[in-house]
Amino acid sequence: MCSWISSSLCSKRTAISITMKTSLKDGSSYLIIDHSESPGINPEQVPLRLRNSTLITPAGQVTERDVQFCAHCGAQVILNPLRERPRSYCAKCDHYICDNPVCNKTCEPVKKLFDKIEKEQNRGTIVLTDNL
Amino acid sequence: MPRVTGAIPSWTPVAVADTTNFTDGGHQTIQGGSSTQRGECREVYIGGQAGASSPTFFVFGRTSTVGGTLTALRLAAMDPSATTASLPTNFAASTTKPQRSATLGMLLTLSMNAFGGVVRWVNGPDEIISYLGNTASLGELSLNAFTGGTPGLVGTHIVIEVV
Repeated sequence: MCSWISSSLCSKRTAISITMKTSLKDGSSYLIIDHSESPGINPEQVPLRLRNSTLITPAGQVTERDVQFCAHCGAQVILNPLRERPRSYCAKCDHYICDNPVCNKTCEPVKKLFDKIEKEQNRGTIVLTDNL
Repeated sequence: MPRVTGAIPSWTPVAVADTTNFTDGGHQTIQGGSSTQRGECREVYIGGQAGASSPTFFVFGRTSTVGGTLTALRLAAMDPSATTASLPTNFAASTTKPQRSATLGMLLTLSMNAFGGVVRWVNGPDEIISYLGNTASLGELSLNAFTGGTPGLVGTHIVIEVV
């Protein structure tokens, strides 16, 4: 239950190995934005709607971050290593969740929804046709 | 399970709003190979190729209208022995244009400057973006530009594992 097989694609995990999951951060996705030879992005250039979710990497800098998805809504959560206040956590999912109050209220994981839809589709009880 | 990579070596994203038709050649989209196929995204890579500063606000997510009559682009098996009845389709042009979902269209925001910038996202074993089927809104994964900035020339690839 606690173990996972690391991906051979990730540069940090070059070999297939079975590792004990010792932290909620284990198994995170990996994001690198390399602006070491680029003018980079300034905060004022970022569109308003993206400001909360955009990782700003200025000129000459490289940013590497762990990325998780909220266990409930599936939103991207770029883990800020300097964060001091506690992260939201769901004990049922044993996973971080985002700061959205809706996700903190009830446990309705998006993964379960996916599995349910796939099961129903394979059974033939539903057919995916148009916009959900 | 077969792992394939869909690459577009050089293209310029066209920024669009949510639920607005993508422009042919201005996006990269992966559509499921059948109505029951499930695939997982393993990697998204964007390498900037612009000749001048070009802040580009890429988003990676789902489409609420899927493409129809697709013009398929490169999709290469990473393992030579990998064969399957149906593989997903990598495309940037279609008769019916995909539209970014207003609710599920931004699973990842990959903002970068296409003048020398490089972005790479690799999935973690517990953090998976998958598609299911080939219809809206779960059957496509799209890399496209959000409104704002001045999108510049890039080369991209998306690695998908059909499960």
